Amino acid sequence: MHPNDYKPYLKILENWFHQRGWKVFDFQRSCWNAVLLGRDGLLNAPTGSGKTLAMWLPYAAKALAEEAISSGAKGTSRPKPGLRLLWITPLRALARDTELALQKSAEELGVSWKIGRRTGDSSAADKARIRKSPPEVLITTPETLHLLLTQADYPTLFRQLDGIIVDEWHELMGTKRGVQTELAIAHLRALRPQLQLWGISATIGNMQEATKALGLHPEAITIKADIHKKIEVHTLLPDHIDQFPWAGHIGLKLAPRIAEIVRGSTSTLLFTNTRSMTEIWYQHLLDVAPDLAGRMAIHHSSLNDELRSWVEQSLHAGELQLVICTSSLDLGVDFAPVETVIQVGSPKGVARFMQRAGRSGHQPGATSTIYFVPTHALEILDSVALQRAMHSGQIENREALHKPLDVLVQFVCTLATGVGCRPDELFTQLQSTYTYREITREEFHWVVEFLTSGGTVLQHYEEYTRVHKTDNGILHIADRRSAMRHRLSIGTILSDTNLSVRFVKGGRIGSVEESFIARLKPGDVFLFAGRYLEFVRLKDLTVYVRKSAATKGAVSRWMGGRMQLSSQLAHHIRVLLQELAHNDHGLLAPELQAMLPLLHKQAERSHLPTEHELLIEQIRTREGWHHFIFPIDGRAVHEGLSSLIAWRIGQKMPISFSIAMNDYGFELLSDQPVPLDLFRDPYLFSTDNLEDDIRAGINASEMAKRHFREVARISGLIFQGYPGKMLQNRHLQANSGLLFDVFEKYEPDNRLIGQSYTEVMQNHVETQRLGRTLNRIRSGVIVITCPDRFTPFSFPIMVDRLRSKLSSEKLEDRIRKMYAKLTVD
Amino acid sequence: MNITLQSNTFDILAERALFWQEKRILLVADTHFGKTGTFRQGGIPLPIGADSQGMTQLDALIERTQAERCIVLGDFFHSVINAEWVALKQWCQQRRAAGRPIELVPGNHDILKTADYLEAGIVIHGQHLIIDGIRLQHEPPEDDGPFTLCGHLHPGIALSGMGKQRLRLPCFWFTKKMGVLPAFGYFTGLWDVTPSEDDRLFVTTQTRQTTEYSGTIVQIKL
Repeated sequence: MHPNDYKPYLKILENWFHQRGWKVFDFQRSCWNAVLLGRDGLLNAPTGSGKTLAMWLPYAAKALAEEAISSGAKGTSRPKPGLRLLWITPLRALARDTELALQKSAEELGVSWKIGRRTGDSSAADKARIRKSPPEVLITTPETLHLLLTQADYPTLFRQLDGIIVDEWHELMGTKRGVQTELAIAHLRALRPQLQLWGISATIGNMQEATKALGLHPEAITIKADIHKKIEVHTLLPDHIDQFPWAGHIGLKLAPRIAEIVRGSTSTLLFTNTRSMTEIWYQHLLDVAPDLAGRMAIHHSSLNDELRSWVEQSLHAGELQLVICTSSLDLGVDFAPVETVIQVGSPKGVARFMQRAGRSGHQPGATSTIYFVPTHALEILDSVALQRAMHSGQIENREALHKPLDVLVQFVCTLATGVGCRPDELFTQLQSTYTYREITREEFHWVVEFLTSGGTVLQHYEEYTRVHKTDNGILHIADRRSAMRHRLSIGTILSDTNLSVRFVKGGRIGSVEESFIARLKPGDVFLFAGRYLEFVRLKDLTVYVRKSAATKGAVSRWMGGRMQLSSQLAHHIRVLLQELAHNDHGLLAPELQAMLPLLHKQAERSHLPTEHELLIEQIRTREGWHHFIFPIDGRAVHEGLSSLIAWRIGQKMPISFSIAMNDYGFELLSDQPVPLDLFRDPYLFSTDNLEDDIRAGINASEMAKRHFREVARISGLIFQGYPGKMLQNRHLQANSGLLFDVFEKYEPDNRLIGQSYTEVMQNHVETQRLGRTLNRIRSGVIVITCPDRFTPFSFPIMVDRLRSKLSSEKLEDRIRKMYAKLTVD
Repeated sequence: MNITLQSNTFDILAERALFWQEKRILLVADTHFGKTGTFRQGGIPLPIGADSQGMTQLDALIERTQAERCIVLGDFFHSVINAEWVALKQWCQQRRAAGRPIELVPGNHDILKTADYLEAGIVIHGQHLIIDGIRLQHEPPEDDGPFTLCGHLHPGIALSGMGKQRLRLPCFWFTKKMGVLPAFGYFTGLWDVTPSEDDRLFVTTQTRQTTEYSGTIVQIKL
């Protein structure tokens, strides 16, 4: 069809908007035109901006046009039914929302295309129906798309596919799920070269790279949603700021004021950084504001799906005044706007903060209001730094991954399970992707050998069969059991063994991790889903509980990545301190005014570092000699840097340290002092031999072994078993640590072991960022002080160290005691 | 390092074995030979090497201690017959020819046919064996019978040091009624023991990660 032929249908779309009293945004119109012109592109738009309609409606117009032609006088044949558009979304919950949104508009516009959804949640009946008569639009996740590729008839399923839309690409970019998405797209493109590709992404720092990583060619266009939403940030300041901040301390004190804000607003979202914190805040707010009982709820990813959708619906319906949530509510298509957003604790990154702030005030031109609740005094600086970064539009990058072989191993198996994998064709496809653009023939050959003969060129394991190579060189998994096993292994998300939580009388509540339950005895009480539950028994991977009348108990904990300060934010904080050190303090923001006593105390006891200074404090206590070093560059950098510096000091003198860190600095504690001259030795902060020294300093082998769990899981070396059943073959049980040791010992050049080390160095230690930190330190000045007791900067680091050693209750008492000592001048 | 049990003296060896001085018997448990082969059959391409290292190490131990007998307390071979059994069978036959055959008190993993063991020249015992009042069997005893030396558990213990250092090591675990040997095989995991105050615990620093044949035994204060 000629693009002009769509004009009448664009008119229909405009009218449809008009009837609803909506205005078509310019960016939506641009998207409609671009899609109908057959172009590829990226829509840069935040969540809740009308991006779904921007991308879907041009396809609806196409559908209308096709129907008009086929019902026309000429008697042109109607296009055969079949899958036309694939909509990839990162979350199952989003898939459901998207399906509803698309169905509603399709119905109202009179589009006869069927809209279906297939995710891990789909029932066997749904799956069969989709397979038998595929809908025109299929909404799915990266994992399920790969699952579709394991079906022998997938070329038939995709033979009429015209377009792929990847929603919330910024969430997938830089993750192994993103790599999976890219691989699937490259493969489908080989099948359907005319495929139209679109991505939808919120703003990230490396937008161009994100475009490439999706598979968009240079001629693809980028359309930016011209929505300039005003974000207003209010920092809740406590009446009195303690001069010795420690994590978690002041946040809860602010609960009564938070309750006031909640009462004064029709709907509020309160974001915390961890699932455990939602539980703690729920209880705490109930204590200070019993009137909110029944009008507040918890939402996080470990709660049962039904519970979560109930919360979402109740919030929509205005029945809930407050929802306490984690990033579980960061995304969401049709999420009704709330009036107020509260962020507890530093979100540590600009992108996350903006995303959350954007949850309020969805109407065009409306202002988003977010309250920032610092959990310790230094986080007040984060608030100011966040606002500055936001105004200057400095959003974090999502670093692209570089040819992860584990994902490739899985993908080869996926293709081998389906129609079979032709290595040469796959290699060409890989070279066309961004992630694997630099893959060598040798590396690819290794992957094929690993799957067909055991991985080493010299050794061929006669009994090893995972993938067969047929006589004409096609890789194939013929065995039904192996195919089944692979289908169940698809995916890249790693989780601890999750145990289902159920009431003895029936009713599922959610899931907890095995490591948490392992510490509880029957009769113990724990806090989960906002309730105190008594642990009754553990049976068949299910934790049976009953309600408890207790008002105290262990807080459920989940492992999860610890968020760390982004380098953008860290930079702004250093600049802020610089200003504070030089400023006459006349024109400061109220947040900074509030911090002055603390900063004065820091300057008085030690020193307030400017942007080009590295502050080092040496303090002697009964515990030993503390050396606090403050690069102010985020926890991950400090983790690597502390090990590196400790190791390098150790090269100069025999000494052992215990190490602690936070986002501002790190502590090296020893039973003897480090001579202060040593800190001025250029060797200590040199970038020479950086990689080798880091490897020697951090327990690289231990870290790589821990990381190998993910690599082994993705590449299919460990199998988590059939759902609901224990492993069928007990003789095949081994944990990834055991496998790592065997490989490291008898086949140290195994590339998956190598990948484990590389990923630890790049993603965990962030060697590159660490190098930049060292360069910054070397070009600046080192300031060393010897305070006679802890300073406002050093105190929180020391507390963090104690926290990791002691139980929380005792810790609270101990800190209070120490605190009392500190403040007596 | 040695320990007195039922008036007999046993050397605790870093290679994860016990040597019974009076009887000149070398005791090991849970060798799990052929385990990597089982994994290869299961589609996991583990490298070869753990088995031959185990055989070499047992040879060296028998040589060094001048043991007259070598008794394995169960879980000698990991699963069904695979390619690694062939090499192991040959080695067992050589041991027999040298006059000191492998003797096996079978464990739950020893599921081969008796004929297979006999063909390899292995001396196969019943579920337990009593020598001078000391019972040898695979699993820890559930009755109040004689003092028992056994394996099966793969005992280990986590030691924590300054900072966040944490080390998990295989150990020998002695209670009033039994002594549990660590797993001899390298491709085996650890099960954390919960000893009581009267128990005695010895860790070996020779773990599956170490490459050279060295290590020491350290008693842990409970």
